[in-house]
Amino acid sequence: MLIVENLSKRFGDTEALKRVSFTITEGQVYSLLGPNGAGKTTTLRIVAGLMMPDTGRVLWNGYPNIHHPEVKRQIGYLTADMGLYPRLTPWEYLNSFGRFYGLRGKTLAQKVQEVVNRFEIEEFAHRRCESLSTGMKQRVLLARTLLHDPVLLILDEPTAGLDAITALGFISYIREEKKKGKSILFSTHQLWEAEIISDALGILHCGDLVASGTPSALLSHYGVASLLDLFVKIVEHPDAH
Amino acid sequence: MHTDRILPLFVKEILEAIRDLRTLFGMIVLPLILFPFLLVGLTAWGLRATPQERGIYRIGIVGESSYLQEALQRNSRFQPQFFRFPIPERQIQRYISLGQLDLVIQIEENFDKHLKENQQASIRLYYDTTSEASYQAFDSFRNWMVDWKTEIVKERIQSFGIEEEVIQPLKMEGVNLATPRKLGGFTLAQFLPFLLIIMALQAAFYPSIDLVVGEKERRTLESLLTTPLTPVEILTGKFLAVSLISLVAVVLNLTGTVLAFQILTRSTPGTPIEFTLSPVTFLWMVIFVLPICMLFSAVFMSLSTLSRSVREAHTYLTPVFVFTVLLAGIGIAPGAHFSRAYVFLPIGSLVLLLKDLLLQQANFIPLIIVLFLHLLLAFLFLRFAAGLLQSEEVLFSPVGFNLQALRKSKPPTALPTLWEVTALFFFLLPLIIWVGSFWAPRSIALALIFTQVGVIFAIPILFLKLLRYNIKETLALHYPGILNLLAGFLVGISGYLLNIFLVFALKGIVPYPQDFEEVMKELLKNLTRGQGLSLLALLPAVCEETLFRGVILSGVRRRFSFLTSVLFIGILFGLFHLPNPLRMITASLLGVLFTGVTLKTGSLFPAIAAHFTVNAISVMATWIEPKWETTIPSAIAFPALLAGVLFFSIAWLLTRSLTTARKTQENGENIATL
Repeated sequence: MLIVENLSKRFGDTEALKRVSFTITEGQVYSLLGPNGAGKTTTLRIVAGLMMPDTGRVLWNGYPNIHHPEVKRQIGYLTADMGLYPRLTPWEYLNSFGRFYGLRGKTLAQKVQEVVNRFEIEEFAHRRCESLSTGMKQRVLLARTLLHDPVLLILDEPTAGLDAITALGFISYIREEKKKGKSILFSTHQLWEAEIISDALGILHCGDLVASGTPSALLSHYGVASLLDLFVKIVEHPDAH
Repeated sequence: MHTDRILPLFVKEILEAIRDLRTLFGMIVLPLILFPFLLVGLTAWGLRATPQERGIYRIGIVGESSYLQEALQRNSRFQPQFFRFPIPERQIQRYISLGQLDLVIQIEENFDKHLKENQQASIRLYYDTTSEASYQAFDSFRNWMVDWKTEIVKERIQSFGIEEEVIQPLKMEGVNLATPRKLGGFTLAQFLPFLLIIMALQAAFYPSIDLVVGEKERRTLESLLTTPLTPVEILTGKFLAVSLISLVAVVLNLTGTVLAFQILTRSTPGTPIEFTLSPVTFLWMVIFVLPICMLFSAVFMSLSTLSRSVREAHTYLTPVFVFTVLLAGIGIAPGAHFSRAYVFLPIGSLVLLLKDLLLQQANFIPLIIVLFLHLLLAFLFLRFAAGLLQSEEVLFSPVGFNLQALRKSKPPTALPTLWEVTALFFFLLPLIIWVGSFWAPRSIALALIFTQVGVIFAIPILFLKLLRYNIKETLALHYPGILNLLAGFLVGISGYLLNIFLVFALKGIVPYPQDFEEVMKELLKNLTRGQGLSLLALLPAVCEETLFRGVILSGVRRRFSFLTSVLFIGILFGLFHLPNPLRMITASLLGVLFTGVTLKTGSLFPAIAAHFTVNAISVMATWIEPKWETTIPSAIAFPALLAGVLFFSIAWLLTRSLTTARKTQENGENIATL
């Protein structure tokens, strides 16, 4: 279980996060929505151990040190603008990252083969990453994220820049992971994605988590029919809530 | 740090680097092929250059002389061209300007007659100093004329029946002991160390940018940081890869250059020079260049980590590249030889030592010291880079790194880190030597003031101010109370007495610092007693204690136990008094005593009092009997030892910890508030 408690973060004079708290249980997808600059990426970076909060803490299964290598071994982190090593092939890239996560020998070979088959990477597995299309690159990145079988997935706008069909395929992969009982923290600008995948969602506005709960509970609480109406209502009148 | 995690990263970095054409060019093509063959090509071109450059000159001879003609025929360096009629000066100028002639000789009308009749014959030489070939021809002809003149004199005195020895009483013969191999080593020593440094530098340049800020720019660093690899492990893997690339460039350059010169000498038989490096010399050279490769990698990677983009990294790295070339250039300056003054000169010191190694004159002790200092510097840069890699400002801020990031959010009780104070010490050490040696020939008093106030005191204070450390807390500027101050003075007396015993015990084992004593005596002669005490006792007590028991101890005491801190600071204080070993040993003992009293009392003032006391007694002793320390009898040494121990024990019993007292007071206040 992931518990995020009272996270606050300042960048100079800007308050990027104001006491943000939420919880994600096993097999649950929690989506963070919000306009640009709302604090989604900062929240995800803190949870992934890339940043330290000024106050508050992140507990993963009760363990507070998210930076510990053993905790990092259980996390898979992916952002839309993450790059690949242009001079390595997907095969070499996956093998390298597998080793960073402590996989060796037959286990490594088996895991790499598994993700290569699952994300249909085989045909371009030995081509240099610099020659791959955006969709291919995103499949390789997702393969790398899931290679070590993490139990917590942190996905920061993973479908940004993908066409609708590829994005839908991507979402179906995430649903498969959810079925396996993985906890998923997901941020997106695409409300339809959040609608079809989320068990719970939070709306961030100027560093404030102004709404958090299951989609149905939020819709009925705010008296709106769709997630889009909810988003517009909250973002346009944040103080009213 | 886990090597099983670093190794896969190292392999990945190497794989990525060797697939990059720019790295391959810097690592293989440039050092192995381009540079050696360019060098050899230039040398070969020099060998088959124009006749003038080979020392063959075209000379025009105006007038007639069978003597001169005959003499010139015996010398192949001059290609004479005879003119029957006089040539005007303008025409001569034209011949030389066009390069048709290098020199024109105007022979007087009765040249042969004068020679024959044992009279003076004269010639006039026309040359142009603005033409290199013409001037060389003139110089060469003038030298030849000296030999010819000697020959004529010899013939004339023989005709008078006088023996040659009468006018040539001395005979000289030079025997060159340099073997062809040694000559080869000498030739290589003139440029190879410099070339190797440049190769190491250029090979580390591109990969250190690509593997650090390149990753930041391509957004791959973020994915690495979310793996179980720690920032230190990431940096170590990359550092090892860049260092290896740099080292490979050096090995290939060394091999390429030696091979290319061997090919050249084989293709020109009869050359009295042999370019051979024994495997042992080769291995030593590689070992000695390794710290340089590591240093370049660490420096470049630190700057690369600081940068926001590849372009910005180029902006930072290029001046460092140029500065390093200048430092290396000092090592190949004509007449430069390794001496103690060069020990703290980064890069330049190693170039000089590599030169010595090629000349088979290497002294291994300075080599080890210089290597250690380079490795230490590399380690400090690496630590700095690892710190940066953990900084959010460096990784995610669009503004990137700035000094504010280091300065901000320090609690009032924060103290400098061990790495910061160690780096400060090794930054100050060469600075003290340089500032001191610059001012000492002008004025010893000024040298003392500049090093003490300008370097030892001002820079550490500036360091604390810049990084926003609390000066009062860092320097432990707490009022110590009368008893602690008294204890400080007693520690000073004890230190002086114990040093008397040390000087006695080490007599004959380590040399007495005679030169230092002479300088101090000379200085004291020109000062009043008040000035002497201020300059030699008060000033070092305040300045050196601020640095050693203030700033450096603040970084050491938070990491080490009491005993380790005391020994560590003692050694640093001893190093500070290099190069005389006796001063180093006595200063180490004093360093231990002063650190002990600072840690025990929790205040810097007792250490200042102790330091002042030791120096003041030394100054006063010089006034009374300048040479007494050199002739200490055992009747004084052993009682001094006992008295020293006694004084220190009394001082120790008198001291009370201010830290404990403050804590007790704070607890009392807390209880009162509750």
